[in-house]
Amino acid sequence: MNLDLSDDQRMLKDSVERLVSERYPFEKRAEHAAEPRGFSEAMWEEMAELGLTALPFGEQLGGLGLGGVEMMIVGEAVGRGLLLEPYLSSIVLAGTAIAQGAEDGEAAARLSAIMTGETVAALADHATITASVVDGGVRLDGAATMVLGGDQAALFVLPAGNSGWMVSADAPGLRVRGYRLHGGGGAADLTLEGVRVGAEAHVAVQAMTRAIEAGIAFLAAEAAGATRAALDLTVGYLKTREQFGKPIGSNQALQHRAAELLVEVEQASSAAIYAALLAEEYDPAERARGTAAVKAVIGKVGRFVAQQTVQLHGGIGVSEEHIISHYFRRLTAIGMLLGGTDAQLKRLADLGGFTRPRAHLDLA
Amino acid sequence: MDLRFTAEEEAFRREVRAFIRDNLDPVTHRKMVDGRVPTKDEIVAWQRALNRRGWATPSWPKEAGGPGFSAAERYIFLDELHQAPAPEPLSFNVGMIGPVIHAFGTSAQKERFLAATANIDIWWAQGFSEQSAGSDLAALRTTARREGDAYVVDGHKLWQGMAHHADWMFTLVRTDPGAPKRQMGISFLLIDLRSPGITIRPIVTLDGRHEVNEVFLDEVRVPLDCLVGAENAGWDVTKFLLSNERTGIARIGMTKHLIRRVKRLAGTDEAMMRKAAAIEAELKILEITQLRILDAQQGSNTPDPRSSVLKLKGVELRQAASELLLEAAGPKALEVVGDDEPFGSGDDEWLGTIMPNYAILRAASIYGGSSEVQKTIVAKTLLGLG
Ligand SMILES: Cc1cc2nc3c(=O)[nH]c(=O)nc-3n(C[C@H](O)[C@H](O)[C@H](O)COP(=O)(O)OP(=O)(O)OC[C@H]3O[C@@H](n4cnc5c(N)ncnc54)[C@H](O)[C@@H]3O)c2cc1C
Repeated sequence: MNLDLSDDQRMLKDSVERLVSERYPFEKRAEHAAEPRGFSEAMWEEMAELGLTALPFGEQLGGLGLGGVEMMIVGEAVGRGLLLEPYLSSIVLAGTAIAQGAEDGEAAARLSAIMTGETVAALADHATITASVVDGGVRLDGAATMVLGGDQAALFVLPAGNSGWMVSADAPGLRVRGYRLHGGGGAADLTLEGVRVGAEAHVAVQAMTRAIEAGIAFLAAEAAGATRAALDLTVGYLKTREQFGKPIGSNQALQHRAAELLVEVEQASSAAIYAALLAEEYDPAERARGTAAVKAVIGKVGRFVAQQTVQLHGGIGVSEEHIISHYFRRLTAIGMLLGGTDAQLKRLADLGGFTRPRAHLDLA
Repeated sequence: MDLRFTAEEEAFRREVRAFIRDNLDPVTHRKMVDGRVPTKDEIVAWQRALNRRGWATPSWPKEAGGPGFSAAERYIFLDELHQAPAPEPLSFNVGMIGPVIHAFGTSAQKERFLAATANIDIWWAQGFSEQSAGSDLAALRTTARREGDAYVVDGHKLWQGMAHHADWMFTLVRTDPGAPKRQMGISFLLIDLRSPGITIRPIVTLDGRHEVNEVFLDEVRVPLDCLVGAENAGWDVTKFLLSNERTGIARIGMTKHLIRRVKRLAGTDEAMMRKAAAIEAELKILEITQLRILDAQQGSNTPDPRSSVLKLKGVELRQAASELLLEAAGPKALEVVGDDEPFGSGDDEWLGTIMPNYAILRAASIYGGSSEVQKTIVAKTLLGLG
């Protein structure tokens, strides 16, 4: 076992954290959100120039071929800085599905525009779409809801039957209703009526699953970054905010609450590490169990940290002008996206959990 | 022992329900059902309808112009409003300043303000909190010095709910900076918000709405007859007001409304229904606690210290119900939709307010005495600790 970052990983961490703290101070976030696409084009370009958008893709596809830990490093910084850019939707979700599920030549072609940031792609996890074979290709009909990043996407990866399909946003028969999300970013609801795609648009179903798992790992990293940042701010506030002639943090009731918060934040960090390393796990059942556990835990941790860091800030915690209220919303959203806590727990139980009812040790 | 209401009380409940059905504007009602915020005009119109019936001020005694409800009637009345759901009588007016003026005001002040307050001819704001005076209200710094026929007020108030709708603000000011105890140098002033020197700045909260404000007071002249109670005796007035603010209402009916919405969204989802039942079980029992406190309060004027218990549990359950509603709605509730979007078709549950309302309801354990402060009160006054 070795849970240290390598030198390269440490360098990546430093440079991503520097990027976020220099280019993405909280005071600028509202301006970024008010840009036409709901995020900072400049930041998005810079992330591409730094190679962050090429990180997880194999070298044969023009990417950097890095792994789960590197993605975690990016995710934590994104969570801390509450970035609005479509990294999760375009790079992690749609990107993973295309890289692992499309035919190599097709994948390389699609990803080249995704890695430069020119094309924003999005993947649907909630859809009821049927695929029927028609002459010269496949016809898609149905609907998808809450497609993350779908409000800005030029390319969609949609599940239909036992496959995924890449569909261009301007495909005839596709209607896109985009909207903003509480907590940042946007999404879209899609309806498809006789949308035609060719065989080259095919994405293997296992890759769709991999993409969701990568997405949940990224959300776990975001949650780890956001909860840690919210805790740091709260502890700082407990030390400096005075009421009744002394810092509010001198009240044992609040000290204990802060301690409970740390316990949960450590759980979030561990969930992020576990999820990052699951990317290297080859047993799909183990990955499925692990991913369900990760998502359930970060959902619970995020809810608690969101609620209690607001509570400890008092009134300013609910002000739009204070970053704590934005961590609150993002953490709430993270808990609900890509399968909420209840759904994940049901999944984990259905998969049998991590222990078996029979005895661990049978004495002779 | 008997938990049942009398036949008269049950008849009263039916009368209240019928009144709401016949008099509440359907648009206001739909907004309340959906969890949207009614406009100022809608709130005022509803309160005036109640006032015509003599019910705008359920907690006021007859001498103050109120209906003189018994504790049970007051409970039934508010429960019907909460469950309908209909707007509550404006708390700044009815729950806070009215009883203060009735208890501490001069006869001229009563004459001038009570009826106008009941009818919201004057909309009041609460000017208590400041940047450095939140839980520790006695730390307030806004000053008032006497100059001829007026107090001159300087300072900065923070978090004034709906002050942008308000005509007047009841305000705590420091009149004796040299007082031996901080509490002894505070006075209670009524300030006309149209006076020169007042600036009201909006604060947007995490639900995306503008309900609270900060109020800057720069050399504001306030006539001497706008002092309530004696100069430097404002703390007693404040304690009276806060104890009314915190008394006796767990807003159980509001939580019931949230649970209704959960059930409508949950449909046949058994896990969700079980979670709703878990909240309802506690809520039902809290209702009994509420009635026990009401029963003990019959004919007494001193607030029951167990009101803190009620507030703590009441807020906990209301927050839990709003969180469950968010879960029942699922990720669709994350779509940002304005309160001014047109109404959906017919009977659909309105998802647009669920996330904003969940978020802003976190403030219910911060204002009106934070949950931590309430627990300290419980430990000290009920348990003799500390
Ligand atoms: C939505 C909203 C509406 C409001 N409306 C009004 C209004 O209309 N008029 C008005 O005057 N004010 C209003 N307020 C202000 C409200 O009364 C204050 O926010 C409240 O008193 C808490 O003060 P604070 O925000 O300064 O938090 P602080 O007092 O700084 O508290 C911060 C944290 O420390 C805890 N804490 C503080 N002291 C102690 C202690 N001794 N022991 C343990 N824990 C402690 C608190 O519980 C909280 O968790 C409103 C606030 C909000 C959020």
